[in-house]
Amino acid sequence: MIERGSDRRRSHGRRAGETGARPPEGPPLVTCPHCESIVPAGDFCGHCGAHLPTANTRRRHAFAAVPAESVAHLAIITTLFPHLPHRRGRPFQLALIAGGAAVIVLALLHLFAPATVAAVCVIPLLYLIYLYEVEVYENEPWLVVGATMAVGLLLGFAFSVVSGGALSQLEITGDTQNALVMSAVVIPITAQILMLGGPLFLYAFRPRFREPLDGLTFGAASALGFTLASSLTSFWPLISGPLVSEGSTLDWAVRLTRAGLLLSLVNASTTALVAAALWLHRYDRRRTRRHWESTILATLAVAFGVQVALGLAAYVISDFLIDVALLALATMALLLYVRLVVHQSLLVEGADHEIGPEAPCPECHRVVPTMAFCPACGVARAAASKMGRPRPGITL
Amino acid sequence: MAAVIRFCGRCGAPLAPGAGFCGRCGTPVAAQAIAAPPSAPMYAGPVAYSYPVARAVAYPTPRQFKLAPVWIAGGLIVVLAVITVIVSAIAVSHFTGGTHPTCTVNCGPKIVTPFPESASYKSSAFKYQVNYSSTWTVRSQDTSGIALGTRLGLVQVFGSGASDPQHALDQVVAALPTSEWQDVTFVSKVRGAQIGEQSGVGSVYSANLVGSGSTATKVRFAVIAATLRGVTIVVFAADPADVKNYPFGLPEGREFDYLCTEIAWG
Repeated sequence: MIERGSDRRRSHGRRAGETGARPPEGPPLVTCPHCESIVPAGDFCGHCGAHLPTANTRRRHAFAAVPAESVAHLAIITTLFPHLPHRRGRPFQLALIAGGAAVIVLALLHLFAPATVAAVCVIPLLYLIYLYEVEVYENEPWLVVGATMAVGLLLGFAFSVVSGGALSQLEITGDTQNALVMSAVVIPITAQILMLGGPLFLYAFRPRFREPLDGLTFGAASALGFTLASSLTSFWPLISGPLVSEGSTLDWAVRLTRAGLLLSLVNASTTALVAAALWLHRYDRRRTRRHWESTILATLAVAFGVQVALGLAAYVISDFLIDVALLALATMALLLYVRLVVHQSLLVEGADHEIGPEAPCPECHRVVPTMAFCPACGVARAAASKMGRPRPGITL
Repeated sequence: MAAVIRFCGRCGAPLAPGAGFCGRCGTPVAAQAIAAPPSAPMYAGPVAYSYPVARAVAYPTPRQFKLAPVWIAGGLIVVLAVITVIVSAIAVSHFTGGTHPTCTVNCGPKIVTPFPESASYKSSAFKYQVNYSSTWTVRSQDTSGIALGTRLGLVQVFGSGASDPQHALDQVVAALPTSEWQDVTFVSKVRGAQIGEQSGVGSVYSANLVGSGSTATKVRFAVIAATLRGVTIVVFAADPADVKNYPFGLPEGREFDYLCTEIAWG
């Protein structure tokens, strides 16, 4: 039986005064060529997360949240739902596919109003399930969900009522100059600021949610609530219209993909990026290992830049398919950028985590010393769900 | 390669060779540091060690997963089904309850205030002239017609080769791009529709106009067409729908109607 003790400490992968000889059945110790900590043997340094065979701290081939995937791997679930272990992500992937299939079935039946509502609800609902599953909110679920999704919903509704009417008015009256400014500058920037409102509240008043992945989750949740409300408000004339509508199913499928999937992912990504960088800035006081991609300035520039560019494109490009294609490209690029920021955040976090005795790794299920990174698979311990992390008292 | 490393006795940080103080916590080495016992080798390649896999009974721990996998997809589908039922119920209640706003009043206003200042457009292709309010903005024009942005909506006047006004009207409605004009629904005929002094046909429709930002606006639009001496002129006018306060739901309906009287055939 392996029982977790209470002796935790910060810093390096070896206790001062501890003998180098481990129990006969334990792993041999090696010195990490990167951080020079003495750590248990394995593919990864349990202290800094570096890939031991190559001493590569960037380890782009092994995403710190899901080492089975590379950092440059396009995936929705493992990027925006990083607390899920790889195996646990599959039910969420299946749920996303099932939700998409349900929307397609409704569209095939020409039930475009329900299909629109279902499409814009799929990802926010899935995220709500994710929040419940990994308990990011710890013991304050109402506060966290309220400050992110609920506030996002309210702000999204209010914002869409004001901005949607104004933009429609400008477009229908042919006031192209003001419509362009409204569409490309005012609406995207204001929306992005509002989406950050809930996470900033938690940043200011709940400092105990200190991990960068907390910030990422709050940012994504707030943006999804905002997008849901603004989409429902914008599409209300369609939703409250005839149940069975005319129109091409293919045309509607593209339209619903844009509204339900792409817009949600773009907003979630931009907001999550900025929130994660903010949290990382507070968390990583040394800032010695930070890369420029995960700085607040860089993420702000990307988030607002992408929003403005997409707003401009939506106004200038009259071809709907080209607009959707651009949005899809932006979504993919943003998801990859979010992964990079998550990866860098988790690697930076490593330096400040405590060390404990052996426990099962939530990712690879091997019994490893509880360190910042699993020596066997390299997953960051901070990427595990808060309730699923190895805790004292777990026995084998 | 064997590394000789010493550690701070207080914080455990590795000490630089020959250091007098811990670089991390500042504790004097002489007082606190201890020599590291047999040091670990510098990593020089894969070490043959495989961590044991946790026994199934021990992992996952009971609190690790809160939802059964089937409930994640199943729960989502159930919620989506409930949403579908609610949206359908709203639509059906509109249909059965007769709350769909439609304009049933045949309101052909004739007493209107003339445009305060008017500008003119002449069609060289179809030989007609139209006077319009100078406060409206010209969005586009060519030899066959002109598109104007009004205070709330838009109006287009253009010539058509169709010999029958009803045919021209139907062509205009059918040619509306479905990506922008959705749920186009016939509302009412315009009785007494005319262009200039020529009687014609007219219809009012409701639709959802989807803008560039994927914002949908409920609109009403009227299409009026008349034919004289083989030339058909069509007026297309749209406004944000306001069915409670205005006939046909067109807030600028009177201005549009007046515009029709300001068209002179060539």
